[in-house]
Amino acid sequence: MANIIPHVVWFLAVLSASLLCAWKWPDLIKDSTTSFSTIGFFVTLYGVIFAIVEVKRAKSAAELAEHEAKKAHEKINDFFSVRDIVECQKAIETAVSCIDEGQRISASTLCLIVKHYSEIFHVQLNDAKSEHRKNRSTIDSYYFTASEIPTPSNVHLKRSLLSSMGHLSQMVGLKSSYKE
Amino acid sequence: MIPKQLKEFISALSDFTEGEKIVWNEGDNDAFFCDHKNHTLHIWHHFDEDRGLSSFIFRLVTAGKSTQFRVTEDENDYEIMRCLYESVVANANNVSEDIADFFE
Repeated sequence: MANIIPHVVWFLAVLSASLLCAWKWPDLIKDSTTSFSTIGFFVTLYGVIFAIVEVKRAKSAAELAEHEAKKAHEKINDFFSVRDIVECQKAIETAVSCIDEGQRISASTLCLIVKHYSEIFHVQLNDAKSEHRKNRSTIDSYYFTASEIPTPSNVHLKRSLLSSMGHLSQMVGLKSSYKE
Repeated sequence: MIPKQLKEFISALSDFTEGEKIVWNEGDNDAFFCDHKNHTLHIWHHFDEDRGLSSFIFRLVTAGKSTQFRVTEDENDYEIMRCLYESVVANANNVSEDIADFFE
């Protein structure tokens, strides 16, 4: 019902305009030929307005569909991001447990952390001064040196892992917060 | 040995490090790293207990590409790397700020 309201309003407006013109300039309806032309003009005018209203409506419907599609895409992305974040957090927990128990951290655990951390914070990692970049480089540095040492130290690594865990938890909070 | 292509780079890096135009951070196991633009530099002092040989390992990482070289104490470039490493340590510890008020 709401769909025809603009058309009715424009129809009434064009009708009023045509009646006003007929009243103001009676020559416009002095004989059948002139009347036919005048009516033809107003019918065409209404047709053009009708078409404009419909085009605008179709455009806004397309924009709405695009907006909804974007929202759905973002939600799917968020789902996959949260899955990666949780996997990265688990790998960090494993690494910290190894440090606490005095065990060597496996290369696969460190690779998994770097892989997910780099994916999740790819924007922040472009900034050479960011805490994220420092964390990744510390993990990288440890990975680089530990392979050649029987008992590698890991003070800086543990600090960076805990800092990374904080960043990841913050990201989970952001992703899972309510979005309309 | 320092690769020929990196000799000038290492020399300029020493100047930049001493001039504190870049910032080095301490890692574990006597390693240090520097994040600068899209590059990450690593330098590491390693003592091989089995061979009784000390060495410096340097790595340049740019956009996923890693270029690494090692200089052992029996090589001519060792002194250059030792000087670089010492200026890196001073840079990472921000020692110039620490001693700024020493003689006041």
